[in-house]
Amino acid sequence: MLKKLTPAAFVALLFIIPTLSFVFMPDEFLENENRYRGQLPKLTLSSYKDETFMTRFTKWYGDILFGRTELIRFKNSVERFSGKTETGGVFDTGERLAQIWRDPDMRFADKNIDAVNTFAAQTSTPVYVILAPTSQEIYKDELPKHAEVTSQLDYIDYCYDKLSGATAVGVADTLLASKQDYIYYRTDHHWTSLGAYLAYRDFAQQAGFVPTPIEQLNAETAARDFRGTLYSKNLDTSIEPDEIDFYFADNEPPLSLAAKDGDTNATADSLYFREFLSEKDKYAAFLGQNAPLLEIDTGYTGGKLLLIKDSYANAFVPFVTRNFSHITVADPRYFNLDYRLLFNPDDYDAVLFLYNVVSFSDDTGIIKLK
Amino acid sequence: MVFSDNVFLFGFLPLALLLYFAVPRKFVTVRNSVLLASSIVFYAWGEPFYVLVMLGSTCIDYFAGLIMNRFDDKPTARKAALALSIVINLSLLGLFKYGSFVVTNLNELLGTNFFDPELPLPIGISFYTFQSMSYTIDLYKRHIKVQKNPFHFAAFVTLFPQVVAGPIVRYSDVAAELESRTVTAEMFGEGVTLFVRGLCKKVLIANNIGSLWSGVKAGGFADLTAGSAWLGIVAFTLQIYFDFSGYSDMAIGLGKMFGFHFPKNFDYPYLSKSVSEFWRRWHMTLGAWFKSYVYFPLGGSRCSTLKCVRNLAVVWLLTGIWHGAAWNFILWGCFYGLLIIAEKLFLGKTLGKLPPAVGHIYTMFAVIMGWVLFDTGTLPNAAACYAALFGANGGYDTHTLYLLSNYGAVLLVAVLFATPLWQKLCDVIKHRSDKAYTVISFPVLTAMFLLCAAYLADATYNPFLYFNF
Repeated sequence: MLKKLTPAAFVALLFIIPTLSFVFMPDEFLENENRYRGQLPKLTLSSYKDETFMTRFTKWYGDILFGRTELIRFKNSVERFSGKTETGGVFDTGERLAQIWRDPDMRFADKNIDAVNTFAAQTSTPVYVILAPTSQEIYKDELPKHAEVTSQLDYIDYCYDKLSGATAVGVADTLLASKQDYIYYRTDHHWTSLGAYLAYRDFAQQAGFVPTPIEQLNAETAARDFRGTLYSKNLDTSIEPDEIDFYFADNEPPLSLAAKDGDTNATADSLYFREFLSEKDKYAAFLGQNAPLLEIDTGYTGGKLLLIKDSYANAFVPFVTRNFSHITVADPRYFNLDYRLLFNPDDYDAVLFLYNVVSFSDDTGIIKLK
Repeated sequence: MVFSDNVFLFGFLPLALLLYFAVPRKFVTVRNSVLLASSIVFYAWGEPFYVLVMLGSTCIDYFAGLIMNRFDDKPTARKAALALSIVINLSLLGLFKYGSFVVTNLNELLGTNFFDPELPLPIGISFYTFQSMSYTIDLYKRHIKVQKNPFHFAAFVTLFPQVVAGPIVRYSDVAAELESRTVTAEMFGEGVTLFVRGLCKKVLIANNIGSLWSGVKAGGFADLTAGSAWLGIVAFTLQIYFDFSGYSDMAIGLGKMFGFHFPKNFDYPYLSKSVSEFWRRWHMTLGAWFKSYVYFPLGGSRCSTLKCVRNLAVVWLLTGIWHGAAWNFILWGCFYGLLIIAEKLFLGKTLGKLPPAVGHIYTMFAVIMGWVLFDTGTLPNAAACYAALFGANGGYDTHTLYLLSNYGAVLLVAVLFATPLWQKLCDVIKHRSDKAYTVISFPVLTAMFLLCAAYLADATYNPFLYFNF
């Protein structure tokens, strides 16, 4: 009887796991992975011949497998225990997660810088560039021993040296000096509002306007249970969840925001989209979902700012509103038109390129601006 | 399909078991037909088109068998049937596996421009052609009886547990079981234990340390330090053992679940004290195949020294070629051929007189040097790797320390499990008390199986990080 225990358990698992997978079929949208799950493919002669049936079936079955997330979390903790410093493709220090960035392709850097320089040469408006380091660089000394990373400071220096006609805004030193503050999320690859504020102050200094002192802003902790993109990758629940902070000044004038997203032109009266606070990706509460172009009338007096950016700018925009009357936020990843049809840089008083090192080192769409 | 896959583990296998055991034991032909149908689905999942090649080769060997039986008293007809089987099997192998290699090398050598069809290599063709040929050759030699039932024969050739990567099961190994077999609870239990052990070897160890070596290879050998190079090649040495022997364990385990006893394929090869011994413990069914069908027919070692050397040279050249259509595999086979000839002539005697440690070190060194040749793809790459191993780019660097801290624990576990220590521990407990063994092994095996499932689940986990750009 006892001898049959192991084979019985094995056979039971072979049948129980598929049964549970079908009974508790997960939702169409896999929130943790931010994607739709695979669909059960149809078997046809052509899908059989080109093997798409098999690959799609495998993907679908993997996606609906019962207890998938828990199994992967189990696997990752066993890996950490065995001494792996990179689980699920992120560094896990026990205190925080950090996105791994190493060996960038410098041709992308050259191409992007070249595009920025060309853009700057074609307008008389002053052009500024911020390359923000990510938490890997700021918390380098907390990373696992012998972790292999590329210096983001060197990368930023390399890019800034090649700029011509555009002004580099160094933010790394300020961020490094404030590393004991809550300036990067522990579970997400973005900086926090406070981190973005520090960069805003550096930008103000370079661009010659007076930044709003932090004392004049009121912070509201809008969410305390934010587990971001890096958590999604390695599923380590022992890392403390993050907070999302919104900053306001007293007596803010009414603001209007218009998203230009092809056919739909959504409008809003706030930069903070609270509906995302109850969802998985809470960082989307800053400026809402991705749009190729946002036009913001801030209600304040001042010049016009053209901000060309990645998602790091989403937490940054709420600070810069008090210094400009109008801000155009452009994300070249999402538009495929000639930019001259969307905006004319000569109409602005300042242009700011704001990217984090990781996204800048990849294909950002900046080359579309050439 | 592969065994270490969700679709196999939680889809194909439970269904195949269900269908198989739904058929009463006395209907062997029906049970074999269920196995045949499952095996065709299993194979076609990975080779939707070339499954026809396998079925074609099966048909030809089946009919060659019938012809030999029909013309039992006509030696010429029997010979012709055997020739047909061998020529067709070797042509299929030659065409798919070596076609491109021969054409490219000819074109390069002669400056010609023969057309290279660039045929893909059908999965498992090196295994099933050898299995299927064992039937016609043994039948010709009258070692076995003809198989008239096409379902029995086709089930033998296509049997999903071993069709893709062995062990190379000869017809004579399973002839009796094809016609009548029982699966006892004990046998099924042994099968489960072996299967889970193989799955752990593949998923928990081989895949894990495999990423060490693939990372080292991807970085290139040009500035690889000796420390990192040794870690890399030791990782590969362990990876290929755990991968291949894990697959064999899974195959043998699955065979047992369906009532077959497949031959053993690995016997702790890294314990060997000579290269000859290594090859008696590594991929044992391939060695045995070449011995039976090439080495012995040539005269084996019961002939003049010169002839024996020739026979060894032929076998090792073929062994090299069997592993792949590239010069490095041929060289790899020749490397082993030379060492084994040397051992036969004088080295074996010398090693016998020295302490066993010398034999172990010599064998491991030879095997590791062999793996460099085996897995670096091209000869210049192999040369660069040898240079790195012997310190051309310095001793060690931070990369070495990184590899050591990330993979040290897995490497240690792998080394431990490459020895029979664990098996011995199990045997001791079993010997003392069967009950205690079951009580301990049940939770361990279940937990290990779940951990494997976790690793497999992770293979499809694919968070899209950059959703907020």
